Amino acid sequence: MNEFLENRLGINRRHFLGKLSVGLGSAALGSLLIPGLFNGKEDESLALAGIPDFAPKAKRIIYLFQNGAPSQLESFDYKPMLNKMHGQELPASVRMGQRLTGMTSGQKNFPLVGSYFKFQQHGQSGSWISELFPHMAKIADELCFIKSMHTEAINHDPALTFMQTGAQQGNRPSMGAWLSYGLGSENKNLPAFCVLLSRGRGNGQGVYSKLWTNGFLDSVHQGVQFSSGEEPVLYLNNPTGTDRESRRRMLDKLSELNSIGHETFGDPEITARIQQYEMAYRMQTAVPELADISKEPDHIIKMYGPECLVPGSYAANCLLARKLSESGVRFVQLYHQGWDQHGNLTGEMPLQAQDADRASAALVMDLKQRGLLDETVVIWGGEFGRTNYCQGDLGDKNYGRDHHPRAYTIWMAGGGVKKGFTYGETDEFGYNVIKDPVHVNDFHATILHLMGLDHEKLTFKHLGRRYRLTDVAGRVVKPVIA
Amino acid sequence: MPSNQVMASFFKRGRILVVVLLATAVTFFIIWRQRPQQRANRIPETVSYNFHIRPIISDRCFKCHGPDANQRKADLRLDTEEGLYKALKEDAESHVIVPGDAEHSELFLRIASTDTSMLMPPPSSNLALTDFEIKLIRKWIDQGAKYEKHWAFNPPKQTKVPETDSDWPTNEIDHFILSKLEEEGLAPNEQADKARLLKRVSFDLIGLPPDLKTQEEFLNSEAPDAYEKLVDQLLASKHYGEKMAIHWLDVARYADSHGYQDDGYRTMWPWRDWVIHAFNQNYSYDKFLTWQLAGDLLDAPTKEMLLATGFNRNHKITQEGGVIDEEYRIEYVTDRTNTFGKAFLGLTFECAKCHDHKYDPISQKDYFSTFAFFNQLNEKGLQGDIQLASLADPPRIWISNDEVKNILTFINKKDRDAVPVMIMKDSTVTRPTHVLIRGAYDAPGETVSAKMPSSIFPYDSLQFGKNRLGLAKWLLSKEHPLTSRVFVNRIWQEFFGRGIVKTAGDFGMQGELPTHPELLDWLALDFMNNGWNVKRLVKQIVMSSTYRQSSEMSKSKMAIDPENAYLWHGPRMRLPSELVKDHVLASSGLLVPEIGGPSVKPYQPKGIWESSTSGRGVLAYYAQDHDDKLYRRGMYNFIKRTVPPPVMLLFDASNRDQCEVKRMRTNTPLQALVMMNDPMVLEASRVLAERLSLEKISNEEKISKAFRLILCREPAKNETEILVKHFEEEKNQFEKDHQKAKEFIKQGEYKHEAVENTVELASLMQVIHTMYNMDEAITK
Amino acid sequence: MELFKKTISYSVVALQVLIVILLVFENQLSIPLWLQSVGRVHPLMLHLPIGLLLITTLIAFGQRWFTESYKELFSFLLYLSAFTASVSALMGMVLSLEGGYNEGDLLFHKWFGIALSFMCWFLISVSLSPKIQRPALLAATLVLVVTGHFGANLTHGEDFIFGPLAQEVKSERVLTDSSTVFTAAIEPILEAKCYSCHNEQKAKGKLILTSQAAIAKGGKNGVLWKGDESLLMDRLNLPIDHKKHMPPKDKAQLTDDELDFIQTWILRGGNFETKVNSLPATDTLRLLASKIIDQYHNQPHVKSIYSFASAPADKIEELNTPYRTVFRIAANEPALQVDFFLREAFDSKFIDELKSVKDQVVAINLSKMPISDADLNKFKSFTNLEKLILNQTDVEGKTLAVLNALPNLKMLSLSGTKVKAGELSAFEKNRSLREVYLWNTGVGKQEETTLQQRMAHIRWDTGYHPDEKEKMRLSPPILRNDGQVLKRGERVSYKHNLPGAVIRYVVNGEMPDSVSGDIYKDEINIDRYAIVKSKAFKDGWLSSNVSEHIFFPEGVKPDRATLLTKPEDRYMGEGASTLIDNRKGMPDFYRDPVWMGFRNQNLEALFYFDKNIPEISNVTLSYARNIYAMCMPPSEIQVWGGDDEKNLKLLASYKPEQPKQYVPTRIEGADIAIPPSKFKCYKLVAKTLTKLPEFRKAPKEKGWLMVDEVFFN
Repeated sequence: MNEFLENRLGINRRHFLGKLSVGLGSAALGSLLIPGLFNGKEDESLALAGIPDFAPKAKRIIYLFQNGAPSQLESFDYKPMLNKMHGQELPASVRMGQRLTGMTSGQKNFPLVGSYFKFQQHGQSGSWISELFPHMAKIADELCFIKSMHTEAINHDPALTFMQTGAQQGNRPSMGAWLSYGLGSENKNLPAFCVLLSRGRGNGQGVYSKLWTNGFLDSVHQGVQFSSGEEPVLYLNNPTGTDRESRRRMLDKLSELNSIGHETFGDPEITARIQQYEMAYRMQTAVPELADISKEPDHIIKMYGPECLVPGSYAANCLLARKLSESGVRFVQLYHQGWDQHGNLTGEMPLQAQDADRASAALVMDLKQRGLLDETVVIWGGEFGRTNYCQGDLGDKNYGRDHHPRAYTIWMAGGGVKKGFTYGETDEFGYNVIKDPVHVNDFHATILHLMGLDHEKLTFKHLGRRYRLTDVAGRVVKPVIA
Repeated sequence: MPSNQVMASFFKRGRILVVVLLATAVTFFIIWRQRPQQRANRIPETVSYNFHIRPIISDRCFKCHGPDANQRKADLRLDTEEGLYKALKEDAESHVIVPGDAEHSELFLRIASTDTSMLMPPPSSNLALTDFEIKLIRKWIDQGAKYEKHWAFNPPKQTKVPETDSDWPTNEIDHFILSKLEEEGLAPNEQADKARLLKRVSFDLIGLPPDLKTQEEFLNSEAPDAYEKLVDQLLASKHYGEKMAIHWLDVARYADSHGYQDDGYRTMWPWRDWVIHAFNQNYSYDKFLTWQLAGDLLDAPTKEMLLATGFNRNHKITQEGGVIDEEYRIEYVTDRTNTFGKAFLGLTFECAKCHDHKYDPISQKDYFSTFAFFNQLNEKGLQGDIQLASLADPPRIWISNDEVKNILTFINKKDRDAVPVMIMKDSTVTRPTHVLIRGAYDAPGETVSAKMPSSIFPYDSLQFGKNRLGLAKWLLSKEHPLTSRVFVNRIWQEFFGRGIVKTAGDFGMQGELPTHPELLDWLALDFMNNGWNVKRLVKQIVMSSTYRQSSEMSKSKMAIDPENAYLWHGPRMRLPSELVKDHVLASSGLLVPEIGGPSVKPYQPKGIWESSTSGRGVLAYYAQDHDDKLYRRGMYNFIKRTVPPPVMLLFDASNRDQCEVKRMRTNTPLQALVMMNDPMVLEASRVLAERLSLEKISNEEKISKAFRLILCREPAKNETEILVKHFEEEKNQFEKDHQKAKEFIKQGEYKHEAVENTVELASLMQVIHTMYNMDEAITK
Repeated sequence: MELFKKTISYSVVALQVLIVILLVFENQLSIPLWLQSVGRVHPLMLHLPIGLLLITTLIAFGQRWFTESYKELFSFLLYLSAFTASVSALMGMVLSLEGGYNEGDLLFHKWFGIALSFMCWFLISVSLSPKIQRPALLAATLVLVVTGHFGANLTHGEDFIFGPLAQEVKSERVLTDSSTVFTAAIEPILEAKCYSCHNEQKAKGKLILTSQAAIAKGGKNGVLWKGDESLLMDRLNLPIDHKKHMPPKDKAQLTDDELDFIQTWILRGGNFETKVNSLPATDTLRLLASKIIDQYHNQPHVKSIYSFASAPADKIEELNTPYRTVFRIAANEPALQVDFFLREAFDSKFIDELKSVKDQVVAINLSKMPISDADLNKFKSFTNLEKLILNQTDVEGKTLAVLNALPNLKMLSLSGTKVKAGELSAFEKNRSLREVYLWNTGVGKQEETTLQQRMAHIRWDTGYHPDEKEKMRLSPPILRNDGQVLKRGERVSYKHNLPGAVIRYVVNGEMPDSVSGDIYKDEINIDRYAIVKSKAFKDGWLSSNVSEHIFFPEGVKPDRATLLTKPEDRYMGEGASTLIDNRKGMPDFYRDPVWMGFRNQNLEALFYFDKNIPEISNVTLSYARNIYAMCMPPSEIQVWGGDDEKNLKLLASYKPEQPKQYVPTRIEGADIAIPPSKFKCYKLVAKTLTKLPEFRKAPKEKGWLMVDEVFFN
């Protein structure tokens, strides 16, 4: 039983059953939100449209996940010291024998590398941003940088999984699933949690459905994969030779037949099924309209960059993300691959930045100009940082950086987040956090808080244990909240 | 005199008054009696520790006052007998519980306290007790606060079958069920009508719908043993093994890829073929279990025994370059340990990896003692990254064509070169196992030796030995409290959709209590005493009147027991993912009933693999199969762990990430979309329509025949009317636009039959497609 | 009087009946909530019969001091006691059903209570001579006492009726001007994070923190602070893993703010008396304290933002449809937000229906809904509305003035509407509005500035205006077919997502430019192997890069195929069938069994048409061109034909052109035209390249021939 809701709504499943059996009216409210309500599942969830613990700062999230871990040292964490000491050995006093990945553990020496790209301060806030991200620089005063992120995992798979589900291993519900479970869907014709994938031109690391899994939560909280292609949602398109009308006829006959079934069996599951078909039918109207960018004015295209016309590109996904969010999707999760620069960083990172910079900035501006930014949180960042020393040979124009879980930078913007603000600080080598560390659990707690949820109350009991996105840790980073 | 009249009339009114009062009173009570949700909240006459109290304190108190020594507060422990009655640490005067005297039992005072600084559980924990729970505890204490050992850790008790004079029961199961139903003021349903019963049992035993021949035979046969004959037939079918295997593949987290990031191809499918074989040959559960856990340790193990041990190698394996070897090797052993705990003991072992178990008597030390059994392989955390990745990391065996021809005949292998399969093989030197502090691979603590927690069942190393074979023997000891119960319960769950213990994966303190404890024990013992005979157990279940009940749900009964926990109606649920496909293919005649072999890649929406892959490895993109491979059973769909087949996920199948003993059952719009637009369903509708169109029968007959194939029963009159009307309407529409008809019947790669009247074909196809979308079509 | 007696006696009968029924059905019964409270009046009610009965008894024995009026009075009291007794008995029954009482006591209390009510009934229904009546009365009084006794045992005078209410009131902290720093900020922290282990009942380390005195006293390790020395701070500041660290690792830890605050407070001497308000606003301690106060007193879920009454839950639920979501912004807030979805389904009555919650709605989002100027009137009555989003609606702004009626409207978004600058002067007098969003409306950058000047109290935002000078490169045309293989009758189809973009293409020719090549109108018909190059153009944009696609018409599939030569070991595919299974691979990934690799031997394969023999005029070999991996086109291809493998004759041969420098990796085809023929058997020979071209700089290496498919057309 979803105690979390039970507590707040003062209802329990039986009561709810009672209420539902009153009639379809209330069952309709269920649909996407209350699947399988009637069968005695181990842990039913009764998500009702958004009822947070307390007045939320934000209603929706768009998470621009930069998969592979973009280097903080070439983007936002400016460390002139590294340029000064370029090529010199990383002082042991700084490294303090931290563990290394299998890729550099064999390495004899660890020469420091300064950023190949120039940094400059931008906006009133004077945030340091490298030349690779000119468009983000333009909106510097909207952004809130956390430069003291740190995680536990040192490899992509566990780190990504940790960032998304709050645990490195195991099949835990992802952040979006938790929010879907906690707040339900704002628009009952769309899933509460949507996932968009794209690949950049850099070294890719792959993503996996485990990252948007519902885990032990009801599968309605599973992230639904959207694409800006011909079929935005799996199995959404009607087959050739059919149309809305023929489908309507089919559904009418279908519900007649199912109603007969309901008369025979009295199984509420059947009424639910009828509702699901109606919902599916509505999705078929709601979704294509979202995926269709042909109605967007020319200057939106210019804003996101022409790449947004190419289905499956990061830019296209940013545009789609805005449309989904605008239509009440709670959590839109993007994954953009290609940030894993173990080598050829100066070659690959500019390409990655080119793909990500303009569209990311555009998304923030676009939400703003529609008056939606103050109720939407936009998050930009990867699963960990990159080392301040070189992986492989340090060329004069090129180098690589290995994984670095001890410090990395992400930025947030919008709903309830301080504008033009920087939180946390790393040492002059960009190796260790020296001020206001933010652990992944803290990050999660903060996100939930922005959405009006208390991360300690948002629990789900599974196989005898109460689970939380923040497991047993996590505290809200109040200073970043406006 | 007026006053007289007044009085006289009043007399009448007075009587009326009384009558009215009486009437109202009576009706009131009748109404109240039908408010079961309130009934649940009545304090029972005698409060039992196991059934009423432990669930509460386990849930709300054990976290800080439970088995976990490190987390234990105030040195107070409520999960043991002595703990409950002992004096407080702070002041020896007061005791946790003074039997018979709540008012002087600290435990009660603290939970009932109105002073938040005293109140337990602390408000901050969000675990507050309800009024009702407090009252329960009070009453339990006042009644003498009797402690009981957790039911699941006592060996199953010989229970005697309840008597009854009703003629409803067929076998012992029904006696237990009936007596419980009567207790609850419920009566069992009538037997389901033959057609529906046939469909149910057919799907439950072979996972396929009954074909028309079987339907006619069964429906027309009057023989009293017709049903039993049918059951025996189905149990003998080669598809029985497939159906039974599906659940075991979830338990064993079987998949065709390595999982983790790059997620390369692996060849474990011969092991999957073995599972099917084992069920078909009706291997006894003890053999089934021993071979998988320790086939390699039996003396002179045959190749088949080795193959069986693949069970413990089905876990995910990383291929991400640069990972730390040991970190992942530990991860694999952990997975084996957790899987072992859940699959065979029905316990949440994983909770004891980083600290003592919070609720069950499994210390962190116990965990790693168990861990030690699985820690003896010569394996590497990273055998090689995706570029050099093998299809099967060592230890492994190679299975050649000769072996397939001669000994391993159940493996469906076509191509020439030998196929590698991962197996278990302990290294000659025992690897020392340490308790890992906070479960961290790089924080070894004290060394431990292979052993199982005696709190569950004592492990005698001398008798059993310190390897997996010993572990198997331990599990199979006559007195073992869990092995048989856990398995029986899961089989039960397969048929009724819900175990006697609802939390099939948690028999521990936090798990739900059995709805029919006596029945569970009876079945468990009966199963053991009859040589762990699985087919026998299955037959017992499907033969029972309980199973044969109709699944009609009356409002009044539902009001009392909405979850059907007491089984007043027969099971009625949506088919599991794999069977949805099987049904569609079988009923349309597309199914290729071939058993086993490499997994297949049927239709799948564009770009699902491509958009998520790192771009490396043989599974970087989805090369869809063609011809026969499109029409294999659902269980053979290729499972790439990082991107499981979407339909599987949408229909609640396991993602094979970890051991899973119970699937969810949901009902979502995305499922509706699949049934409406999945090319597989459309193709099946088309092919069936074509086949029927070639028959020389009336349209109505065609429709009713399709109905019998898909719904497995004669359509009712009003159903036929609707469908025929549907057909006519569609026909009119397609008449208007022949092109549409042509477009509609294009679906799928299966070769098209030459049918002249495309309009009628398309209309029939649409009607059939509608049938496939009926709730009953994909419901057993 | 008689009337009174009758009424009483009848109702008493009725009551008795009810009691009996309750007794009988007790075990099947449960009490609906509304009745429970009736039951809970029992403890009040019962005092009446007690009082009355005692008086009655007294009177009965003090008869002689009474006058004539005695009889009347006596029976009056008697009847009354009887009535009240049965009533409270009944209530008692109801109450008892709630359960949770000490069974023993309850049992006695219940039965005596019932007995009492029956006795009273007996007393009034049967007329008795005083001789019997008095002892009977006495007996009744006795029973009364006993009942009362057990009753007392049951309830410890706990407040039953108002119990539930009382609880909610509790644990709310009140702040006054005279609150001390200690009570306002220190105590809450202690309560949240220390009390659980340091209270009177459970004093870990002999330390109690629940009272000022106790705090001052300290624990077994001494006082908590003294001057700059502070045991407390030491413990709090120890590394979390240290066993002496407080609070213990697994407990809720102090936040940095809390640490700073406590530290400062102690350094200031840990004064219990200092009042918050006595400190200057800028004082560190006060600033720190206010943070804490904020945290513990102004927690959003403790104090709610909106004061107005909330709408009934069921009403809100009613309003929820698939096209309109109405939800409370938070569990503890009465305020509602309303969103509308699906333009197709919208009906303006959806807004009217909101009347029932008009006082609660604070935000409405109507994006994309067909709302017109006229509809704005509907919002007049939403006096608490703060935020109104009308993006991409049909609003033109004629009626914006009506929004001035909304005293709380702070934000208005009109992006994507036809609103023009002129209409916005409607807000000249509006004092509530703070932000107006006008992106993609008739309002341009200049107008924005003027608006900003004219109405400075509002922030006007017209959003992004593209830099006209900046010219961007169009994205290339998008191919809609999937894969390279064209099914029978399948035509090649392109699209471009930018409205007005023109696609030009060339089949098997040189790149199109803005004048050359055909303009793409409808799907292109391709009947043989072809390379299609296309490019997109639009004014104001740079033309796109070329997109190049290669197509293989699937043709007729041979019934079977056999290999005469052996592919290299690691690239065997799945035997000869690999060549005719219509599965194509990735251009650079050859471990996939759709590929077959030849190097030391040429590819020689036979293809058979057993059933109906088609006419063939083209044979196309599909291979990988990947110079980096030395996968080169075959040096020569021959096609043979005949009735069977024994007697074949050469139909055609062809030498594909070899690349002259590094070129992009791709799958391409060698397409051989043969005289139209109907043979049962065809043989294809593809010779590997024995010597790589110069530029590849690998003189000793042979070329690889990677093939995935052969097509017959």
